[in-house]
Amino acid sequence: MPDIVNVRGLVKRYGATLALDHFVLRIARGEIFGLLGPNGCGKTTAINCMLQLLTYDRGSIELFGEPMTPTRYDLKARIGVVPQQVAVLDELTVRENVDAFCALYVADARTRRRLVDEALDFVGLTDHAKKRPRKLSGGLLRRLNIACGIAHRPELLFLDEPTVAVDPQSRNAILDGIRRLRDEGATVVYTSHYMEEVERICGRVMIMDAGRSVAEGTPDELKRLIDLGERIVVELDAPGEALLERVRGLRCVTRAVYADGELRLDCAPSAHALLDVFGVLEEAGAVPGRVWSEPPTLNDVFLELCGRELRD
Amino acid sequence: MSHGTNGPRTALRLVRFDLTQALRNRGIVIWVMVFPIVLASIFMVMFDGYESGEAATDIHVGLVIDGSAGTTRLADALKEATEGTSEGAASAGAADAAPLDITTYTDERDAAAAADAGEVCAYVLLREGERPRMVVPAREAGGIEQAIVQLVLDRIEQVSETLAIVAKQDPAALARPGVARALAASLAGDDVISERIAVLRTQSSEFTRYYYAMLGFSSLMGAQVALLLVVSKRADGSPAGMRRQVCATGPLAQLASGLIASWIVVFGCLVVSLAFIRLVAKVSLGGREGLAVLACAACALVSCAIGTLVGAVPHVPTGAKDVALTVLTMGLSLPAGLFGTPAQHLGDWLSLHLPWVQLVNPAVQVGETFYRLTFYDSLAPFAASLVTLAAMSAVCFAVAALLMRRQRHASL
Repeated sequence: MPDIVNVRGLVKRYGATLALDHFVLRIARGEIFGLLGPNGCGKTTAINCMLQLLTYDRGSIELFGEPMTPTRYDLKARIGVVPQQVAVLDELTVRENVDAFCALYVADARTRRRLVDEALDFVGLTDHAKKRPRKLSGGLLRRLNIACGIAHRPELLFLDEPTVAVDPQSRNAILDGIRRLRDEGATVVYTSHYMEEVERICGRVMIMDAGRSVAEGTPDELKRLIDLGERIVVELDAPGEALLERVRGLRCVTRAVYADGELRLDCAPSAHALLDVFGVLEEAGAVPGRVWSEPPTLNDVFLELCGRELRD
Repeated sequence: MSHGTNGPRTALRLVRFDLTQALRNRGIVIWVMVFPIVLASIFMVMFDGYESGEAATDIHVGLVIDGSAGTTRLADALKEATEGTSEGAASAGAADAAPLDITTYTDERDAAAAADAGEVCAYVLLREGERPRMVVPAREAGGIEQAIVQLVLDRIEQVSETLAIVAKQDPAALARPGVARALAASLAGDDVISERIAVLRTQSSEFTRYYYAMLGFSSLMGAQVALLLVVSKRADGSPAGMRRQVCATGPLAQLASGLIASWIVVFGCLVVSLAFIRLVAKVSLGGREGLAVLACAACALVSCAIGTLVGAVPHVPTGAKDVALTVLTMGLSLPAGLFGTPAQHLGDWLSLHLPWVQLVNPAVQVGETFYRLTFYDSLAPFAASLVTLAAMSAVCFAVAALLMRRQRHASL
C-alpha cells in the first residue's frame, strides 16, 4: 500500500533545543496512526512541520507521494485538521461554521450544502445546526470542531487530542466516528494522551520522546517490547516487610508495591507468575481476598519507554 | 472531493462569512456601529443647549403710531427692515443677529402696559411732527436690548428726516412702492456699519469640528473590524486562523475577503454616521454629500489598513491588540479635537508647530478631509486629503504585508 505520509530525517531546532531529531514517519493509506509521547516530545512540532505551519532545518516531507510545501494547495485540499483547541468562529452558527471552513475547500455551493449536511449528520449535530458555539456543551463543541475538519472529505486527517475534556458518551461517539472515517477511506493521524483510546482505534502507534521515535508498531507489538508480562493484583491484609521481600525475590516479579489493601505486582512474561506468587503467599500463611491479573497496556509501554518521572 | 481555490472569486465567495462574522460580533456592533451614533446624539444634545444659550433672542419692541400717513409709512419701513434683517440672518445661519419683534399700538397706554408687563422691552413713540422717542420702563433701563433699540431709533430718525426731505421735494415719490423698500434697506443698514464677508463657502459652526473629529474617531474604531477578521485568519492569531492557514485557500484570497468585508462594514457605518450628523444633527456638508460618501470610502480604507497592520503584529495576543487599538484610537482622536476645547487647542498647537504629526494622524486627516470638502471652494485640498488617506493606507498595508510574510504558527 503506498505511503500517504513519508517523513525522512526531519530536524527542527528552536535555538539550542532540538525539537525533532532526524524524525522518520511513514503512514500507509487507510491507517489510523497513533502518535504518542510526553509533553514536549515533538509530536506537535512534527505535525506542524507536515502541515507547513513550521519551517524545518533538515529532512523531507512527502504527502500523497509528493513533496509538501507551504504553497501546495492541491495537497492541502486533501488534508483535514482537527486541532486540540476548538477552532471555530463564535459569531457563526454551527452550520455556518462548517460551511465557512468547507468553503475554503469547495467552491460549488450545492456540493457544499450536501457536504455540510453530511458532516453535521456524521457528528450528530444536525439538531444543533442553528445554535452558536457558545450555546454548545463541551462535547458538542468538540464534535463541531471535528465537523469543521472533515466536511470537505479529506483523505488525510490530523486529529490532535480531539477528546480532551469530553464526557465518555461524546468520546465514544467521536472514536466511533474516526473509525467510520477510516472505513470510508481516510487516513488518520491521531495524537492523544489517552492510551486506551489509542489502543482502541489505532492500527499502528509511534511513541516519541526527545524528538525521535522510541518505538513503533501495532499495540500488541509495542506491548511485547517491555518486560511486563502481566500485572497481578492481590487483595491482602498488611503483608509485612518480610513477605514483601520474599515476593520481590521471585524471578518473575519485577516490581511489588503494597498500598490500599492491595499487593500490586508487575511480572515479567512467564507461564508461572501467578502460581509462583500464590506459592509464596501460602507459605507465609497469608490469606488473599480477590485476585486478578491484567495484561500490559499501552500506558505501561509508554511509562516504561518514556520513564515515570514528571515532565514539564 | 476537495479542490483548492485561490482566485478573486474565492475571495468574494468568502466575503459572506466574514461579513456575518463581523456584523454579529458584539464588540463591533457596540463600538463601530452604535457608539458613533450615540456620540453624535450626545453632541447634538450638548451643542443644542449651547446654541440656544448663545443665540440672540427676539427683542420685543412696541411701536406707538398716531395713525397719520407719515408715521404709518415710517412704521411700515421699520417693520420691513426688521423682517429683512431677520431673514438675512436666518439664511446665513448667523446666531448673532437679533431680530426685532415689533408690536404696533395706537394707544400709548397699551404700549406702556405691555412694557410694564414685560411683553416688550421698550416702545417707540412715532407722532406726526415729533422726533421719534423711546420709552423704557425703569426696571429695564440700560439693558442691551434697549441699546439695540436705541440704535434702531437713531436709524429711524435718519429715515424720518429723509422722508421729510422727500415729502418736501417730491411728494409723489412717497406713493411709489420702491421707496418703502429703499427706506427699509436704509434701516437695515448693515452696509453702513459693517460688511459680512464669506471666507468659507459654507457658514461654519464651532461645533462642526466635533462631528468631523467623531468621524475620525469612528474610522479608527472601525479598524476593530479588520483586526477581528485578520486575526481570525492568521495561524498565530487564533485556533480558527491556524485551521484556515492549513486549508486549500491561500492567505492572499482569505485576507482579501476579510479586507473587503471589513471595508464594507466600516464604510456602511461611516455612511450611517454621516447621514445621522447631516440629517439629524443638521451639520452642513456644503451641498457636497456625494463627495462626502467618497470621503467615507477613503476613510474606511484607512480603517482597514490600520486594523490589518495591528492584526499583523506578531507575538502579541489578540486581547492585547484589541486594547492597543482602542488606546491608539483614543490617543489619535485627542489632537483631532474630539474631547473638548483643550484637545482642540492641542490640535491647533500641533498643526502650528508640528504639522507632520497631524499629517500622519489618521483621525486628524479624516476630520480634515470632511472639513476641506465642506468649507473650501476648490476641491483640490479635498483631493489632497484623499491622496493622503490613500498613501496612509498603502503604507499600513505594506508594513502589514512585511510582518505577515513567512509568519508561521508555533503550536497547534
